[in-house]
Amino acid sequence: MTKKKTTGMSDQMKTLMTVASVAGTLSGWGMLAYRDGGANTAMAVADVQPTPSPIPTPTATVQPTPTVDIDALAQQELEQLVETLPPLPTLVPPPDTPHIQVRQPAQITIPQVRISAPAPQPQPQAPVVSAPAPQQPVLRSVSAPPPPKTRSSR
Amino acid sequence: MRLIQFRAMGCHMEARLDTTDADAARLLARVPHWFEEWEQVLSRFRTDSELSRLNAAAGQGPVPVSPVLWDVLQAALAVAKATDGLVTPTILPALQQAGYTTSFEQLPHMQPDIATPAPDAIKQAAQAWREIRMNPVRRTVYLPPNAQLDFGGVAKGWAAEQAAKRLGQYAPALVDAGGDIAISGPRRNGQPWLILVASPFDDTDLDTIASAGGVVATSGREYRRWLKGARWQHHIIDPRTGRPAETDVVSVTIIARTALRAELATKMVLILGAEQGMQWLELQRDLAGLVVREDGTLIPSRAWQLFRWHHRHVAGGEA
Repeated sequence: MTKKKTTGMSDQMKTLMTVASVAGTLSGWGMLAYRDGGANTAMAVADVQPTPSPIPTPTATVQPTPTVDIDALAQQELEQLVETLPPLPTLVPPPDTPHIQVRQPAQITIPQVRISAPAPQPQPQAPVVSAPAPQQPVLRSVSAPPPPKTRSSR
Repeated sequence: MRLIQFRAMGCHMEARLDTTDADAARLLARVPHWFEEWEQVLSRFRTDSELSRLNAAAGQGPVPVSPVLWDVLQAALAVAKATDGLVTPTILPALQQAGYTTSFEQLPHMQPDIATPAPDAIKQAAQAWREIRMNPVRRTVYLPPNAQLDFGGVAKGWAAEQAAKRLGQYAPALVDAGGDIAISGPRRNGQPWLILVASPFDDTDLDTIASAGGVVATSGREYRRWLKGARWQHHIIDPRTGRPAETDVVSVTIIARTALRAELATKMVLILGAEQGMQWLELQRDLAGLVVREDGTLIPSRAWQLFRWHHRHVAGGEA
């Protein structure tokens, strides 16, 4: 009896690998979709690797989830809620509300400011007794000068 | 109001004309020249002044003098005669002995106490005014050998009065010669001029007075003073001692019709002291005064109340 030479994987193994490949692809898409829909989770997904647990985890029984149209539900609940609300009161200004007039602000004249170079700072000098520099007479026209002062001569 | 400010006679000067006329500026611009001319005649600090030349000619015979020197000397001698020599122009030796040897701006405020002439000689020199001879026909002055003149406040008051008279021909005028203020008449609107009375102790004002003419003068010993040795000296000389007056009065402000009367009264009250000075002042019907004692007490004369600006308002008088 001639034994059939084994040439590679068995059919069962090939089937298993195909299933695993499809599952990987699907999970990849699922991951991408998750990444698209969530925020700031890319790093978490990339970094966190599943750690093999030494304790066998009981396999959860997946129950088929009934399909619920969330938008329709929200709309329906909203409509019900609105029906229960009391009518909004009509806003009418009170009769004694003062009539406020906004006047034009007074015209503000901004004085012209001339900025000139600062006078040079006098250098400290040794105190000497000398005649004061002759003062040039100052001639002015003043609408209301302050009253003069009488005092002992200075 | 047009005004000019300048320095002359060692003091701050100010002349005001109550007008809006542009030509007033030209007139005001001449005021410093007037004061310069008067200072060149009357200053004892200028060696080439007419007064210095007259002092240098003491005992050498009659000296012809200018009308300005004649007028001021006449006024000063009238004050000396009216006060029996208590306020006299012949106090220059006493001032120099006290250390007031140059203009106050150049005066060392701390001086050594060096040997000085005998007090009797100083006192005799202060009384030398009695020997001065004036010839009105030739307008000459003879000073006795020991007579040396210093016009002091008389010169400033006279100058302020003269300037106010000249300016007053043009418009209502006020001339402030270092605190001695002469007024030509009421202001253009008929109102009096307001004048602040400065405190001798700080920068505050003691009172406000209203005057429509005459002179307001203040003399004091709080500013022109210096140390000689360990003693404070000042420029108000008591001719009876030949030394700076020892008085409890720090400053006196007088309202008078003329500069001569104002100068006479301020010096008189300062030298006499608060008590005697006020007694004398209350007898002078043409004067009003405010005395400031060294303890800060203010003593106004009865007539002073008539010039107080706040008093006039409170009393419902004219504003």
